[in-house]
Amino acid sequence: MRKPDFCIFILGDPLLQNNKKMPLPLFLFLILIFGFSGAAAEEKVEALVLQAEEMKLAEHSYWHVLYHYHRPLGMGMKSRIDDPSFFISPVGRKNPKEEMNAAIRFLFSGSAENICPYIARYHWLYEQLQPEPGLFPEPVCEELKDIHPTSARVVFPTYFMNSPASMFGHTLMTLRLDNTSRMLDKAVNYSAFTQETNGFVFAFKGIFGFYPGYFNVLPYYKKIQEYGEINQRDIWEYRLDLESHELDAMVRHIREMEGIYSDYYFFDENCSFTLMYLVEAARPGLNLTDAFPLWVIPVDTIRVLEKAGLIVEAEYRPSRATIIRHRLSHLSSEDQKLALDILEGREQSETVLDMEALRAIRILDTVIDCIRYRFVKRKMDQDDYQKTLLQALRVRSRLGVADDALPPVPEPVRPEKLHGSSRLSAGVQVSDGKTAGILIYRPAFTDLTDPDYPESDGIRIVFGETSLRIGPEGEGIQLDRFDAIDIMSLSPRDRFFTPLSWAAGIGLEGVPGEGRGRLLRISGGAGFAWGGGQYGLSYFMALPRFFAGSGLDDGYSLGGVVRAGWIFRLFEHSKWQAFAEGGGFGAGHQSYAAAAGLEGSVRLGRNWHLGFETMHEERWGQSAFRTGMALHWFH
Amino acid sequence: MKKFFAAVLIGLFVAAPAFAVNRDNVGCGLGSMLLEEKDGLLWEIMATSTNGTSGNQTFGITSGTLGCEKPANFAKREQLDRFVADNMDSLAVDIAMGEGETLGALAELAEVDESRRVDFFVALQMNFDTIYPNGKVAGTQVVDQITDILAQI
Repeated sequence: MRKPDFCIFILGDPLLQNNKKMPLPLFLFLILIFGFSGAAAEEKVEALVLQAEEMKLAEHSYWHVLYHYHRPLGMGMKSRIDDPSFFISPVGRKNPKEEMNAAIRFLFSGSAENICPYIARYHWLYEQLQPEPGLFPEPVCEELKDIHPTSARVVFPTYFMNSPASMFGHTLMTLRLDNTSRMLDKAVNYSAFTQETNGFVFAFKGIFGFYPGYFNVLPYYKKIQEYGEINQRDIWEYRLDLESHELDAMVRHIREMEGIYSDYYFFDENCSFTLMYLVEAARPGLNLTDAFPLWVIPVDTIRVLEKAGLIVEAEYRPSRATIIRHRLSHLSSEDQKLALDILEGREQSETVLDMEALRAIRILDTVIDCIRYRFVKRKMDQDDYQKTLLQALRVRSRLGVADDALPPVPEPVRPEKLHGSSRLSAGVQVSDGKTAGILIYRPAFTDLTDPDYPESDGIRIVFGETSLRIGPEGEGIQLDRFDAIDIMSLSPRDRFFTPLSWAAGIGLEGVPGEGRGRLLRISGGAGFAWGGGQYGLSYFMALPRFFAGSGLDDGYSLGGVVRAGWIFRLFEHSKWQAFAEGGGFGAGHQSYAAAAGLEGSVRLGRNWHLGFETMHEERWGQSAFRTGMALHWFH
Repeated sequence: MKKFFAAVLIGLFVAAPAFAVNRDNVGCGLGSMLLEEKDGLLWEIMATSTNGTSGNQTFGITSGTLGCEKPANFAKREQLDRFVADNMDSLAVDIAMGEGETLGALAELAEVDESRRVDFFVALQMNFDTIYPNGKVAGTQVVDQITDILAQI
């Protein structure tokens, strides 16, 4: 594990740390010691302890915010902070009152060599207890003397193409100090620290909280590079409605959390969740951290902030891939071809010099962005990259500037304005002439026929979807289907982008009429997709499948299908998928397999969709036809 | 609940195609910033799918204290050096294009008045070949050239 060299210093100008004076509290402490007798001092501190008890400060919600106290399952109080060095009392992690008494005795007696690691607590206690001035160390941290943010933003890099798993995404906070360029803001980031490179170990340990999570501070441009240039994720920046004294309070809490770890849990106590504490620390009385179920999806934290009225404005920062697509949409087919030829070395950059300036600039800027994109995607080695990029830039530098070189990139709908993350559906299904009710709960997130997303986002991410069939008469309630996880990522290919599409899933299913009971299904595969514009998105994939269950000969069946599909819109607020697949199972229970169908959703309102499905399926010598309709409610 | 998710996630990665993890040796110059933090696709997907972040976070933290012992007039240079080294690629592109966010941030760090910025950007664009004689140019050389150009406008 790498020890994070966390340091708040970067927040300010490096110059600020020039003068390492004797810490003020120590200085005051010395005065205190020599100022009046130890016994008298102790009495005054004890008076404050009593006063705090009378005021019931240990029950104050802000005290609980500063310590990340919560009540797991409504039981006893406990802090989410796992680092023992954060607490002043040995029982402080579970006892806010003992911790407060210990904190008052320790901090007001001036025993702390440096007050900064306790500055948020001390500042608040001092404010609440309002002791006679001069008796106790002032609640001032010298390190923060010149760090006064003027604004704060929650930054949300959205999911990125070809990695639907990034729906869990990330959020971070940026603080603006005396700078004006967004790039120079400071990013405050909470993340797990590890050098683990084995994905399985990483996933396992991350889920069970084996990694320590730390806050750290770094220049925001590092994060722009990471998300915008390397991961190709569009970024949303939400400016928070916080005043300067509130931002100072946030900085004090950040300072307290310096080098302090909390066990990091991917699903709930994650980056987005923990960031809420910074906002709560900024403005007393907010209650943001109680608003979540068992998992915290970053976009939901944005919704919580919005609901609390904390978001002033949102700004959109398109990723490099988004910019390239936008540039391409402003090039004629002929110019696209020229750009591709220059990119792949069949033409020289100089070719554009004869053209009209705006046209030349638009072609060359596209080439330049594509070179950067291909390099971070490892389609080019570094020598080749340096040579190609520099050559294009040399020519570009002779073309001057043009007002409309890059027309404004249209903003997509803000992610928090789309439908809620989880979905409850009720409807009817007719299979082989028998009618049954269906009830489906899907904790997250979206599928291929979601009309809220553009066609170019061929993305299906289903987590924990449970589908119950009620009836037909006499059959009671049955588990129709359970998708622990089911992902399909369709990324359209064109001359400039050549991504793979892929799918993966694991779950249970029981097909009515088959009488095979519940089967475990593991599936995956890869293929290609094309289009994504007005004619819809089409794809072709090879999908291996494995089934297991007592209803099958030999208990399992292994095979696969090839599948072709087309995703399209009939009208604006609807999205449809037609598909056909065929193949067979060659191992275990052998048979051919085929299916075809049509499914779709119509948007009725922000959180209401109407879904349709009809499909025919044949396998293991049986066929099933079903058709259904359901009302979806997102929340 | 967490166990459930564990099973889910492990299931996903059993079923998912295997991705190779590789680590390139990184030289210097253009491109090195963008390369050094990549550890292969599997890692990338893991890190992004789970809110986790690989141990690439320490940059800038310790270097934030650089310059502590130096006289004030070096501080600006120090900041510029760091910024240019960290943003080599996007700065080169912005200079060639004559505009851009990185160029704006550079002008702010170099304390160029708003009124002089257009001239500054034009001068940089015209001198692109001098600033970037080859792809291996170091950040400090770039800053030297930029400072010279700034002195002449």
